[in-house]
Amino acid sequence: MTRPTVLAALIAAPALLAACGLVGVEAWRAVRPRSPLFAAPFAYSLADAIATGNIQHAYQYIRAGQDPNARIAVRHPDLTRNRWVRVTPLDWAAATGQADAVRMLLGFGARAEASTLCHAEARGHEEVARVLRAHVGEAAPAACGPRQMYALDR
Amino acid sequence: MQTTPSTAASPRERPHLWTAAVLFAAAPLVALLCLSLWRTPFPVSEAIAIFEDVARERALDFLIPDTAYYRPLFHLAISAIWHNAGSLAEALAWVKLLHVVPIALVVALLVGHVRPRTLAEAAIAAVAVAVLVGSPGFRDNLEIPLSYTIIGMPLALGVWILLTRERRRWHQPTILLLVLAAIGFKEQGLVLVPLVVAAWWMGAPGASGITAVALVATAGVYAVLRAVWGESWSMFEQAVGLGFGEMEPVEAVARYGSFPYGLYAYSGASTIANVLFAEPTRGTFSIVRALVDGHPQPWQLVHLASSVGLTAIVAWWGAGVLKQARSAGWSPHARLVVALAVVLLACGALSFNYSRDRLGGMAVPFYALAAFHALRAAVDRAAAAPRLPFAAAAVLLCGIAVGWHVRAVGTLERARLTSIRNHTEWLVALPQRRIEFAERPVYLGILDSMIDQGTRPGMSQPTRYPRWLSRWIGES
Repeated sequence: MTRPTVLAALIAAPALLAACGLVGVEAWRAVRPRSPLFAAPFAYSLADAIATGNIQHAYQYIRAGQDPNARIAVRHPDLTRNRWVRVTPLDWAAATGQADAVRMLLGFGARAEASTLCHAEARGHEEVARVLRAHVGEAAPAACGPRQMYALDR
Repeated sequence: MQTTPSTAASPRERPHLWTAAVLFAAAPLVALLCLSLWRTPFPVSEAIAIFEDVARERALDFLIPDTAYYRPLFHLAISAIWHNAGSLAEALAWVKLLHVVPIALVVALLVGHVRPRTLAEAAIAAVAVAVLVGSPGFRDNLEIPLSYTIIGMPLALGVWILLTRERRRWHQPTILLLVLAAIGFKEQGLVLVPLVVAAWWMGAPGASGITAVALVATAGVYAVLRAVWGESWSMFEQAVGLGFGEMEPVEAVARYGSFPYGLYAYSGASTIANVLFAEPTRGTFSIVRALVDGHPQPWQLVHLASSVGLTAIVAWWGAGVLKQARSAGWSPHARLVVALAVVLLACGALSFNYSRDRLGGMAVPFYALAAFHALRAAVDRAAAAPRLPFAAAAVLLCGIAVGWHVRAVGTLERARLTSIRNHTEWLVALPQRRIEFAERPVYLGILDSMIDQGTRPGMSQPTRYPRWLSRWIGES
């Protein structure tokens, strides 16, 4: 093998590897679109998607027809003391501090109430509280009570 | 320096075959990039405001240069699409085509122009494509629907191809039209005016004095019009990077308002350095900062090393061909070196107000062209070197090729990431937008009509490469 051929092969190899790699990965994407190589970990419910901040999956539940104001079953070691309780998706997003989930739910039909704002404020989720305060407007309370008043399992 | 035995023409060469081979090798990357952009939702920010402008304003109003950002042809094109498409979906598809077609075109023009004739040249041409696609100036111009510079790139390459070919009757009006179109899409198209003048001065076969004079006169009229209408321009239009930080315009005026020219020069130099060294970005030395702090990301090292290595080879090759030109007259390669320098300087001058990666975009095709010829010269030189220098050169050239191909894949992943970000923006930005734009019914109407395209599943998804790999690619 001549020197120019060696050099050409060394320079061509990355191009061929990149081209073959891209084709291989895309072929795999077509065959297994839900592979961890392409898809975020699956969220088994709207509650899971909200709690993990998986906005794309949370929205897919809403788009598929789930009512953004219908209560959902949630469980959390701290927020619900490990008991199953039913809350609105917006209250759940506020309590878990997921600001983007709050924005998404508000954008697609969820109704914000003063107590939702207090769920966020009582837990120190300032960004969520700011989003909700702008949305609730004049209905926003001047101050929320202590955190215990807004326990999800009350 | 220009042609040596290993890459020189011979009867056995098959330019069609090797050109096709390079296009074939580049096809997956370019096709996936175009497909990603095609499936990318339009962003809420920028896109809706542009569509609102074209929906409200008369098309001819876009010709009046009364704003800091003057892109009349872009707005006329969007306006024509917006008002003549049969449906919203059709209009959005045409706007995307306006962005996607130039990407494929600039790659095809580059490969067609370098026209590899041997395996070595084909391998180097593939690197040149990676240089084009992996450059920050290309990557930063992929934002839909802001197609100003991505349209300018094939126009710039088209102008250069015509300037370097034997003159024909239709060449001069075509050059004139291409330059005017590039200027009409964005101010950065002005870089083609000094390019044409320099080509004429260097005796490029396709350049003509009349065209050069006509373009200088056009640029003069353009500058006068902008100056007449632009009395209220801000001293700093956007945030300005300096050293390791960035200043908002208010702070920049407070600190440098009495003598802004030093900062203007810094911003211009930053844009040039970004094309050549991938650093600084937005005028900020983020990679150097990471190195100083002792925790650089692998992708930062890839960007810096591949750019510095390639620019060093281009500089070595450029110095050689210019030295030759002094005794033997202007060669095509010497003209290309000067063209690259002229376009870089012009890009720097036009980005005096603030530096952004995208502002170096018009120089990227010329950098990729120069990279092709410089690497070809380096391969020829290395092939004739003693064993140890040959081995070192082989490692260096292979490393540069690997680095640029990784960067090109990074551009694809960045486009996919942008797709997800745009989708997420549609999911989370609606409440705030409705509050902020409550007084603008046209904006809200367009926003509501575009919700479906923004929230529809099926946008491009980034590849979730293993952590170690994504740290080298940088954008997943």
